[in-house]
Amino acid sequence: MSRSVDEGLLERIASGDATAFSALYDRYADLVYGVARRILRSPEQAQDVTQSVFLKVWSRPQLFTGGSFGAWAARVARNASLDVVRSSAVRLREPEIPATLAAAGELEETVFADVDREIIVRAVAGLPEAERVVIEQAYFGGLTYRQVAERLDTPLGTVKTRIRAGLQRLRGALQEAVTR
Amino acid sequence: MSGIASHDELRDLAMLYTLGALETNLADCAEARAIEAHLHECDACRDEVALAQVGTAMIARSAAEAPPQELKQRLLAAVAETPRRHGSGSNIARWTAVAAAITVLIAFAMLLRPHQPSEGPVAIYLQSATTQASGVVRAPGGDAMTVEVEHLAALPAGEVYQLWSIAPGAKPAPGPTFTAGSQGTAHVTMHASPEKGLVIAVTIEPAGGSQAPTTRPFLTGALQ
Repeated sequence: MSRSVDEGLLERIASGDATAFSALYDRYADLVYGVARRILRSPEQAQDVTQSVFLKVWSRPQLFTGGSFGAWAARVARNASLDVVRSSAVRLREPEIPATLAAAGELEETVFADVDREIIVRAVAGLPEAERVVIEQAYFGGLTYRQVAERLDTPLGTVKTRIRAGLQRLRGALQEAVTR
Repeated sequence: MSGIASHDELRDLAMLYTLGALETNLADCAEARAIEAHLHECDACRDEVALAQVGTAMIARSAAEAPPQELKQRLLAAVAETPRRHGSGSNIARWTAVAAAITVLIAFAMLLRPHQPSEGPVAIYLQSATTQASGVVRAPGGDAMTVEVEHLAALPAGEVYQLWSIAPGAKPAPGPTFTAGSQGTAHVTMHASPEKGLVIAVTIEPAGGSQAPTTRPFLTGALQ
């Protein structure tokens, strides 16, 4: 449902409709700014990243090629923020996500569109600390799982196991919330 | 990734890739393709990706925080100053507009440079998700391709840009290094056969170039 709303807004943005742009901003500004703020700590830098992400949507909406717009926006905000942290001369990006990986599942879309943020926050906060730490260090810290393992002095296999267990727990909490 | 990974390894890679916890250099392009090929035939691994998508979405959403109100005003003011071309909004129309804009800009840039303009059909438009840089790759025939890039940032001493060509399933093959001209443009010839699926990418490398990429690509495109 939300996906078609976003696609409609993006179609209008591509035609130069600033009202649609404003509506899309209202839907995703908290997500983009929040991810940037969490990575950068500095509110000013987070605002700069948020502005750059949305200006990119305005000037080149074709960069979004389908799937979940929320997932795409979070990924762009994360990459741009991590590049600021790394003080790159030029902001870098990850290789294109293969189309199969980019296809959004229904539950993923639900996370961005339909579920109260409080439920999400509780689910993340409720993870065992060992699982939450590895996932957050990878996502917000921009670390690879190998770097996480080195930093925590933990075997690679354990890091992978904790990441998977944490992800499974998060999905379980979400499923419980949406079927309640 | 060296060699063909086992099912369990690919399942882990798919999960880690989706979370953004995989090494992100050019080798991952080949790695990503191996994952994608495997996903077509493996339900268990598709489930793994779905699991990681949901978890990653939840982690991202958990950080959501309202930005200051003035940010929206600033953004809308910036948008008002950069009106978009009104059109059908179709993908083809948008891509045609982008292609036309790039072609015009490059044609203009070429007038400022002493060398002869490139000829040959356009093979790829290079796009960057996080920089203003863009480029066009032409395949005039044979094994040579010309790459024209614009809106490049000037690099600090000791760093250069480097081109890479990545054939499907292969490791990145190093191409020539280059620097941005005074207008932020570059024109480079590289030797690679323009085959379907070939990825052209640009990274920043130490002066002299690298045999394998040491940074993530910021500009990429794939031959369709």
